[in-house]
Amino acid sequence: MQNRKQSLAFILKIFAPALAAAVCLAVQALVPDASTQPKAKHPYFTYFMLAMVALQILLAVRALVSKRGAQKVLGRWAFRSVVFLVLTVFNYVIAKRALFPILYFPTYDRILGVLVEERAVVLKCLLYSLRLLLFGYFGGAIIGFFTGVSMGFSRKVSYWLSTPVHLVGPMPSTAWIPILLVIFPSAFSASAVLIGIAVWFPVTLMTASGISNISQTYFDVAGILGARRAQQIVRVGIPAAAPHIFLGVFNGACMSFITLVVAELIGAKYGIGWYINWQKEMLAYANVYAGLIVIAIVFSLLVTALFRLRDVALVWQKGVIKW
Amino acid sequence: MVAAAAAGRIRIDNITKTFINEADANATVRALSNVSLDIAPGEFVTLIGASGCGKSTLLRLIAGLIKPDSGSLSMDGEDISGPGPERGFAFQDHALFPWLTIAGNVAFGLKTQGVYAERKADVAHWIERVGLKGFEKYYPHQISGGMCQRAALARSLIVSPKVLLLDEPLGALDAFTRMNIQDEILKIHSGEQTTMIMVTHDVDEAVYMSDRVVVLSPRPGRIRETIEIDLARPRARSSADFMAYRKQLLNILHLGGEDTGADYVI
Repeated sequence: MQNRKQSLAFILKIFAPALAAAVCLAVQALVPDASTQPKAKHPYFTYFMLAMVALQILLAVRALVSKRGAQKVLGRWAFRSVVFLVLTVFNYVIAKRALFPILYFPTYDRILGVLVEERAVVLKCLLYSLRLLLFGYFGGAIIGFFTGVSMGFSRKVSYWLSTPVHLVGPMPSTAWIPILLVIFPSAFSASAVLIGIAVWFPVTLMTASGISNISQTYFDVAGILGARRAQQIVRVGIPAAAPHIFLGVFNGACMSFITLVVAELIGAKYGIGWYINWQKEMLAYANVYAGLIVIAIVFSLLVTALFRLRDVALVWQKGVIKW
Repeated sequence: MVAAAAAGRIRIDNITKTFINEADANATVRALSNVSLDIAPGEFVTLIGASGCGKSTLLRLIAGLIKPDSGSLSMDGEDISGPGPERGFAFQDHALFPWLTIAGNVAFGLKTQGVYAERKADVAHWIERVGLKGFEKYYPHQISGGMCQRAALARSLIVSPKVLLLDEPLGALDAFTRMNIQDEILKIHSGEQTTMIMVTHDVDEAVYMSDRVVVLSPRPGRIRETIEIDLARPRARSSADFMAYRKQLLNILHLGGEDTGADYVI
């Protein structure tokens, strides 16, 4: 009896996400949209939920046959189910009943429609943003790294630079916009420098503080084993400070995302931040949400990649910050 | 290896070292006062004494990590001006680099001297010699304190130092691991003819390992007495002679108790 109860609960949990997805699909397919909501070209959300139901059934079936699959589903079943139920509630309130102003709350069909029908523009904007991010982020991080290393190892550099760094660093980099626009010839270079400044400070600060926190014993050991000054910096200083440097690089990434969206407001021709703002002004809110979804996915992927990189580079101290 | 045995003489001539308190420049601590000591090549000398007697300071001076206020230190006739691979150092808390594997730590000295390519095989040799075969790819936090200390010894010894300075390297280990590693250090000592200078708080360890025990007294640190340990190796930790040396040392350190005044005869 006990066993049967347990296995019943097991089956319920395994199939709960699929069930919730089916409910969501049923509401989407069977309840008609409010007449005031503009129609999309295709019922994209219906297609999406069909795929989701199929995926959840697949996962559930896999859970029945494989132990690992079961563990994976059991670990996430409640979260997944609730996600589909929340989607259902929003869909009902927004699309089916139009309880919120339809101008600002478009149907899922239309939001997904933007991602499908206007994918060329969205992709172009995304690539422009990534290019800007690449130049600004790496430029700022590399300069920040070298500033931090030289401040950490040289008293002279630290003497001359610490006051300017502490004065300029905490300024929100966006405060520089009026000046950067005058100094730099193009909107792209001004935006890249803006992002660079935002990244440079956390990387500099964490690198320098990481180096100054290294136990003297490590340098003693290196000296006894015949390491010269340059070797002490490269073989001891930088690896020992690496966990701090990573924190700076991570904080810098977050700062660069914020700055990117703002930087694209200054004379950009394309870019995901620019796109969102442009569509907002056109009151095309389906496009605004589509842009937000793209930003959320891409930035999350970038942060994930950063943490994967850390897991490889800092395998010796895995698990200090989790993502 | 006759030439190797002849190298590794340390001469300490009348050195004084004072530390200035960072918080209060007027408050100075006299760590060592007029200390002179000659250590022969291949000798095993232990420095023992209460906390604050300057024994670790003396070791760091020999390593070249700090400089004396006055007096001179030399190795094989050359003044000691800074740290170098000819004088190895084993720290109390192994001080392995946490970002390197055991093999990476042991190889460190070869890499800094640019001889890693031709002497790669030495890494495996020393790892095996200290009993860590199979742990090459582990990181320090994944293995025990005793194993870390073994790895640290291998890291010091791979660059063939003439002198090995041991700053209570076994202080944090449990009794069994401790005795084990003591024997391994002695094996290396007799095998490589390395001069060894060890700081310890442990009277048994001092008697078991040393040719000579130097007792220091604190404030200011100075040499109070030197005892030659004239026992054949390997030594039995429970022999009567061993006990007698032990008692003698404890008495010098005022740790022998009241009734043990003069009943030892050697």
